[in-house]
Amino acid sequence: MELQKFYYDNKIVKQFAYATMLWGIVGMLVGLVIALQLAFPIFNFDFQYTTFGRVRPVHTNAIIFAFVGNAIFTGVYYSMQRLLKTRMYSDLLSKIHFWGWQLIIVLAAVTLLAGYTMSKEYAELEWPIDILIAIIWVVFGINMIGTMIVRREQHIYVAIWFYLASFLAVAILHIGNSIEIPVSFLKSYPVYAGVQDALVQWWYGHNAVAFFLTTPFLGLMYYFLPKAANRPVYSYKLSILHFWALIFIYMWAGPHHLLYQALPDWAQALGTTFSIMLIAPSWGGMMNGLLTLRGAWDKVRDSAILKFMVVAVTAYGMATFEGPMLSLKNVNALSHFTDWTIAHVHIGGMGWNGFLTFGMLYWLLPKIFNTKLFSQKLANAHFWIATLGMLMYSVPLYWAGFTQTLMWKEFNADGFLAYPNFLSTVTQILPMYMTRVVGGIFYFTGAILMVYNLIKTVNSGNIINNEEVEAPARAVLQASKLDGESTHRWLERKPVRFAVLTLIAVVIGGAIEIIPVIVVKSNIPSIQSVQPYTPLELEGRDIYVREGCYTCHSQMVRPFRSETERYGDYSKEGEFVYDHPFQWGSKRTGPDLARSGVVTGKMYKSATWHYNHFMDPRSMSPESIMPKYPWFAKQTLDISSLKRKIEVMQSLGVPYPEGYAEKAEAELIAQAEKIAAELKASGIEIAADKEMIAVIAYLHRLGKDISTAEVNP
Amino acid sequence: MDKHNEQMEFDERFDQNLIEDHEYDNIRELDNPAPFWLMGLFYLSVLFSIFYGAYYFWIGIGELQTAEYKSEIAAAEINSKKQASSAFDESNISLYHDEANLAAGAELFATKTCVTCHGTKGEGNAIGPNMTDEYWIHGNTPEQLYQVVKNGVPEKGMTPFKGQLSEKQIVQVISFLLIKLQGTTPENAKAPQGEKLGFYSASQSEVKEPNDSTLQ
Repeated sequence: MELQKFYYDNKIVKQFAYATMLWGIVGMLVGLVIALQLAFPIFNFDFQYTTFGRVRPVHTNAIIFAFVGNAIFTGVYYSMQRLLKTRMYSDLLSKIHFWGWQLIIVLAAVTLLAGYTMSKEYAELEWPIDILIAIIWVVFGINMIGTMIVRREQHIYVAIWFYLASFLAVAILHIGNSIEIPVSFLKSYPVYAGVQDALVQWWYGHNAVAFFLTTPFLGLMYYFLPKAANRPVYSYKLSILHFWALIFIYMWAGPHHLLYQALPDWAQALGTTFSIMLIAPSWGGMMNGLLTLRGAWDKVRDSAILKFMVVAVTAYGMATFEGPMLSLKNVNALSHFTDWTIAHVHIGGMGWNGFLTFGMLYWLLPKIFNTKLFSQKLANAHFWIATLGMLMYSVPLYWAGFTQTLMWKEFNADGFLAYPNFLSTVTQILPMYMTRVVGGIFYFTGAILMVYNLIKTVNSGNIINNEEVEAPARAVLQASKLDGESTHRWLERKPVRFAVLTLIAVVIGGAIEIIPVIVVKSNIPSIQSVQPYTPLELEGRDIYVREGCYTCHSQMVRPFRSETERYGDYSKEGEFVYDHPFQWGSKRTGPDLARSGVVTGKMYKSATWHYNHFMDPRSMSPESIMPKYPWFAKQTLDISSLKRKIEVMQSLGVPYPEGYAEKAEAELIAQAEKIAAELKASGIEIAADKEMIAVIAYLHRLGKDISTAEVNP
Repeated sequence: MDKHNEQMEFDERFDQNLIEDHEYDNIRELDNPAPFWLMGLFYLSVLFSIFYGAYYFWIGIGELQTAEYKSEIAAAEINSKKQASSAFDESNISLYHDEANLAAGAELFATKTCVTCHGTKGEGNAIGPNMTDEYWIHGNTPEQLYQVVKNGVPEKGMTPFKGQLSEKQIVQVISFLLIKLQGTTPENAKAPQGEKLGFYSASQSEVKEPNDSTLQ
């Protein structure tokens, strides 16, 4: 057969690899900063733009979308060209994809620190950036599918199945979760409210883990592991089974982030059961990886690359076993809202994503620079220091999680909470927070070693920007199945059909859970006494969102005696119908605030207390680790878009009376003056137009409506 | 030329069942079955899910979360009824005068967040009033103080402690306040608030002996 000559584009691979290293270092450094902030609040620097609530989303976004994202693209652009025996479909699209993605990262970092946020975890970015992400993602998709269409290889390999599923699912998740109505250039409200918003968000959040952190990396594993080990893939059959099972089942598991919360029981049960059914499909990936190493274990001893890959796959196996266990109601009752979750995700993030990325970079950069790795010894040192770092990071956090949850739940012999003061449960785990910082420093040091090693490697070689190859054209086969061809084998040479089936598989789970919660009224029993926020409370809520309070404070009292004793009545679905976005939170570094407005409740604090606490939390509680917010007292509340906010809320179904937008400002001022007068009576002079007043108004509203309410089924 | 066209190594122990025609950038695939235990695990997890659905919904043996909460509260109430001292009378409180109980009161004052608003020495701060002077906002009889500590004065920032302190503990705290803290002169004392009602006088309660039995 006649050979065609063509060139692999290595330049784009190099660019993505450099971006991976750069953002990896940045993301880990930011992680170190927030770890320090939790152990020593002085690291909030008393500066509005560097408080934990704003920096934490920068860390998560930088690691997930900048570090891991660029790692995915590095591996995909390298392996896809070779697996399909063609150059990428379009150099221009590759270029737009690369620079567009880096632009998004920079915009994300700047806007998040500046306080522009949707407050939906890992989907914090505001609407203009959301649109840009969608465009760039589609550019990537067109480039990917185009490459599949112009391929020379007859069949698409398992790695490509995973890339394809990742592209499709992430597109749906991102768009579905980001439907929002703009209020101004950098502020919008999601169309979903309360329970619906929570369900959509965790459908997204859970599957961002699935289709951004897991399936693309399984694809990378299926290429780079057999390459690095020089061994054939253990089982083609297993690849098929676990691929389809994984992508289908994953999409159902989102509600396991909302167990024992204000979500219909049936949705929670789906979250639990589908999580349990995920164990075997996940382990299918791990086993296919580990069994591929049969006959190559002797190489693992010497090769840092294989060591990284083995630990990555093992960490994947551990995290995907622990995940389903955390989805069991009785385990989740203990783990949720604690550092247990943080430890769990770092096994996945540091172990699976980090280590596979490191292994891939060590393997791939010498190849495209036509040279050898500068130092195997340094790479081995990186491996050991990173492994140690990961353990020193996660073990103390598991310990912190267990300790704190047991303290939260303990009652003394008299029937009272043994630790009614939330802060005492935080003080108890501060030593673990400090140890975690040391683990993070180890892991970060390892990454620095890698960057040095790879810079040296790159300097010793020369980039082959366009790598010459020859391969025959793809033979044209009949469209229908050949004799003796299995259905799946047939599908592998029909990528468009493959993509359509993949799409169907990933859509079903989300649709079955989300549509009924939006459409069927009985899923969210209404509560007559629940009213929309006043204009001042709404503005205060937007400040709460801006500051990322949800990163440390939940607004979700679970139906446990230990929580209702501590916080007040448990949260009901109908309480959140005007919450665009929901603020349930996922971690309690501070106490729950769902009932902070119930005057006779356990969480109520006077306006004076809040004022003093925001000015300096340590003046009220010497051991508090909360950042100071003295600028609340200085900054004037921006009410320039209040009218528009009310109108947007009305368009989303919030029952403000007609023409209310016009009256909102006067009402806001009246309410603010009342609070300012109350503070003045206690000797605190503050103008009524300051942000502080709005935040206090919001905190004094939380959970109040239901205190005298009846729930109507 | 493609520099990567070196063949994957062949290991005769493992590679007898290479699938023909499955070769992508020299990556080969083997025709091994999925591990049987893994398939078993999958079927087990499906069975578990069916059982789970049946347990909670179709047969309905399992308590869903609201029912589970009610059971938990009911169990706690039975337990607390057993322990509650029905003889305790909020309208007639006897203070403690013995050092052990007064020390326990001091300990509670220091550890149950009283100090956050009333100062480490009871001197008061921006939130709470001075506890050492003769001025009182909500009265100074043991019965009045008991109500303030128990139910709080939420609109002014005083936390209700009924969920945190037992009856006996509240009496320990107010005994400490009235007998030990009153009349001390800490630094930075807050200016007086409320009415001048004077210091608590022990004679008020001397007529009745502290009756521990009702509190334990």
